[in-house]
Formats: sequence, structure tokens, C-alpha cells
Amino acid sequence: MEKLPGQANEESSRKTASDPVTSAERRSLRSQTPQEQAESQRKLNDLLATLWEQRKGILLERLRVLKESIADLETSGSAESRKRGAETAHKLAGILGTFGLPRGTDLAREAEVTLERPAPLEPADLHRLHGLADELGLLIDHRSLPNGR
Amino acid sequence: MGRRILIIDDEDDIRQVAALSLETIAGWDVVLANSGALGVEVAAKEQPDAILLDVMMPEMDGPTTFLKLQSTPQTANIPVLLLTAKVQGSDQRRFAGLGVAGILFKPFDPLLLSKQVSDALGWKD
Repeated sequence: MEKLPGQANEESSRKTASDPVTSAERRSLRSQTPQEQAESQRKLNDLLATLWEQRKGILLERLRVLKESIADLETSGSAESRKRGAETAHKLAGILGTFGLPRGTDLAREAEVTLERPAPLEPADLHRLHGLADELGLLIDHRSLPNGR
Repeated sequence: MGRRILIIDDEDDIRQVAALSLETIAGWDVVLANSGALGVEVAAKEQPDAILLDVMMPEMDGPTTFLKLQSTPQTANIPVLLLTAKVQGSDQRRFAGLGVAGILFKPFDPLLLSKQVSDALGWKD
């Protein structure tokens, strides 16, 4: 199948550094019976665990950006730092639960909502944001595999 | 029945996990695009059975991309499911008002994503 230039790049990136298996391998996991279905779920969990290990560094880098934004807000209080922090928290909220860390989604979402509030941030807000970021760091660092994931 | 799904999301992690999920659990073919503009091009060329479309993307966001898909004859009839981490009611009402086929929320459960897509689109297979 012919691919658009941009799509070809995207497909290429999927199947190299950031993708633990090829599409053909994934499709081979299709199942029909309940036993095969259970097996495909187990294999999906294994693939997700592999993907987590590959992406963990990127998530920690996002957390670093969030912490940096919070630190900036203590000194400059700039709208740009606040926007960057909110966007980063939003991204973390969207992915952590998908990797089996629903608590991480809750923490990141609280940070996002706090940073998006129109009101100026109070010292108590900044203290809470630091606490949220620290707990996120612990969760990401020590992620186990809840529910087999 | 084999399906082809286009995922439009600027987030690498989301694209990767969603593709793993749909291909492994449902056996669907998945096509990816990392921006709204590219997504419109890919949709017109690949004619997927449905599109999962992220809301918050730089340059062309999800709602804008959806309107572009709707105004393009080759893609106007492809059902679109918005994928969003926004949970506030006002956001949801705004998205629903666009006329999309449904809204799915991040974080999603990779084991259940294909079922959520099928349910939202009324697919029985």
C-alpha cells in the first residue's frame, strides 16, 4: 500500500525505536476462543509492560518539565510557565492511567486543574503542586504491574 | 470482520498503546497520523472505517480537524470518535455539539478500547 510521505515516517518510527513488536506480530495474536482471548490479553499486557519500559524515561522528562514549571511559578509566576505546566500535566493525566496508573492520572489531573484556574496561585497551591509532582515521581519510578499489567 | 482504524494523536504514547490494543485484541488494521493535517490526508487516502481523533493537538486541534474531515467529500462520511482527557461537563457538551459519532476518554483501558469503539459505533462484530 502506498503511503503518504508523513505517514511513512510515522510508520517507520512505530516499527523501530519506540515499538516493541511489528504490526504483523500483533495481528498474529488475534484470537477466537475464550482461551485464545485470555492469551491475547496476557500478551497485550506483556507488550504494554515492554512499551512502558521504553517510554518511562520520556514520562519522567515530562515530570521534570512540570516540576520546572512549578518552580518557575514560585519566582516569576509567568503565564507561560503556568500554561506549559498545565499542558504537561494534561499529557501525563491522559497516559498514566492507560499504563495502569489511575492514581497517576488523578494526581496529574489535579495539577492540571490547579494550573488552569484563572485565580492567582497561593503559596498553599504551590505547596500542593510540589506534593503532587513528588508523588507522581514516586509512582512512575516504582510502577509495578497492577492487575497483571 | 476486519476493520481499519485511523488514530490521529500528537502523543506518541497514546498512538502506540491504542495501536497495540486495537491490533492485538480486535485484530483491526491501524493507521496512524501524528497531526490533524496529516490525519485528513491519510483519511482521504486510506478510507478507514472509523477515526479516533485527539482533541488537544498543536496547530490543528481535534474539533478543527473534525470540521475539515466533514467538509472534505472523501472523508465526510467516516465516523469520528473524539479521544480526550478533558472530563469537565462543559467540554463534553461542546464536543458532543460538533456532531461526532462519540467521545472516548483518556485514560482508556487498552483491554477494553476496541469494545468501547464497537459499542460507540454500533458495531456488532
